[in-house]
Amino acid sequence: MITINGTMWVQILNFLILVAVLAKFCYKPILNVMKARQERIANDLENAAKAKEAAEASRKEYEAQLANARREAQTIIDKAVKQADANTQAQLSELRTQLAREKEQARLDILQEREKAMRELRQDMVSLSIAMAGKVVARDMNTEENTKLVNQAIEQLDTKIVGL
Amino acid sequence: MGGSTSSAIEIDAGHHWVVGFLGMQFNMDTLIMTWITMAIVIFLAWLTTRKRSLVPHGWQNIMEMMLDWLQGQMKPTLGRYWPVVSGLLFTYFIFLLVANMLGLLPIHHIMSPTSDLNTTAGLAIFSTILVWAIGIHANGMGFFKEFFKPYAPFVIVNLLEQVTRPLTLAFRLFGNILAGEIMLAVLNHLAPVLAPSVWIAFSILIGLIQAFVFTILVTSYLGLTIDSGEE
Repeated sequence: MITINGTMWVQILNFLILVAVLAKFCYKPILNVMKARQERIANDLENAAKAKEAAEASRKEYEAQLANARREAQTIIDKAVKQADANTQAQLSELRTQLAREKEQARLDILQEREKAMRELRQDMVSLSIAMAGKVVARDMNTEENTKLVNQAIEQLDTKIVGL
Repeated sequence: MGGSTSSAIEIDAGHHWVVGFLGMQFNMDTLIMTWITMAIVIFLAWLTTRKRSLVPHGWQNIMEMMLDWLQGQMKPTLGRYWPVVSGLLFTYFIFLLVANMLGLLPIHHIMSPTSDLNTTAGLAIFSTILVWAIGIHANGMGFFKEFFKPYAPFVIVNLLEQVTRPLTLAFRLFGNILAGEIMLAVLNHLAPVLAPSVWIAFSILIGLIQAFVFTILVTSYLGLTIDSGEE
């Protein structure tokens, strides 16, 4: 028995009622949950990507800082070594200068001492010459012989004692 | 239905309890089965949504999986009209799925509402009204001009198509489900237990396919109407 009757219209009404009920109490809440989950996952993924990016940036920054610190440390060491070298050189130079100065001073002192000795020696020789001259005069020698004897005595003295 | 001999098979399918009201006839068995179907669908919806959470469990998983699958199938076809008709299309599928399965229960007098042509015709006519409404909304008067394309005489063919669409929708579903129930009744008489079990398994598949075919065809008709205006 196939007949179309009022049932058809009631079925349309039934269906519309079911659509309204399900749309309000089923699809909407479920689709909202699905949407919220989708957004949550998208946010989480985005945050994870950002965190990874930040971690990568931090790592690079730390590496850069480390490299910088190493460079600075090396610079300080180099500077210290240079400074130490410079100090050593300056001290050496000063020492050399001082040595040269002391050597020069010693040389001058020796020269002075020698001059002084020469002077004293000459004075002694004059005294001695006069004494000798007195003795020669006492033997009654002529003037020519006298002078000859004095000069000889002086020359001998100079050569033997002073070494000039 | 009935035979002259005592061994004739008595089949309930196709017979209705008709009640007259306000000058109209109503198949009360079909209506009662429809209300039972609606109650089951609403109960399933309640099971699904009562403890819904961001991390889905149990029934929520099943409903989400189904809605997501249907959305994936239908949303690309409907574009901006998807939010307007999604509830209707979801309901078509869920209602038809439950309705088609109802007649497979081994309980006397329980039948599928979709084994009555009034149900399938009602749903098909409503889908046609929906297609026309969306068509007019999307294209304005251009919707009617489509009937005269590519040439004016094609108006006959195009109008005929508008009639055959709901007819095929209604008869395909009705025929499949009614035939399934008749076959089940026959098999119950001829070879109880094994043959009906196999047939029920097959009918579950048929019920699922028919629910999907009906919904996807309505989606396709809607899509064609929307597309014709946008071209």
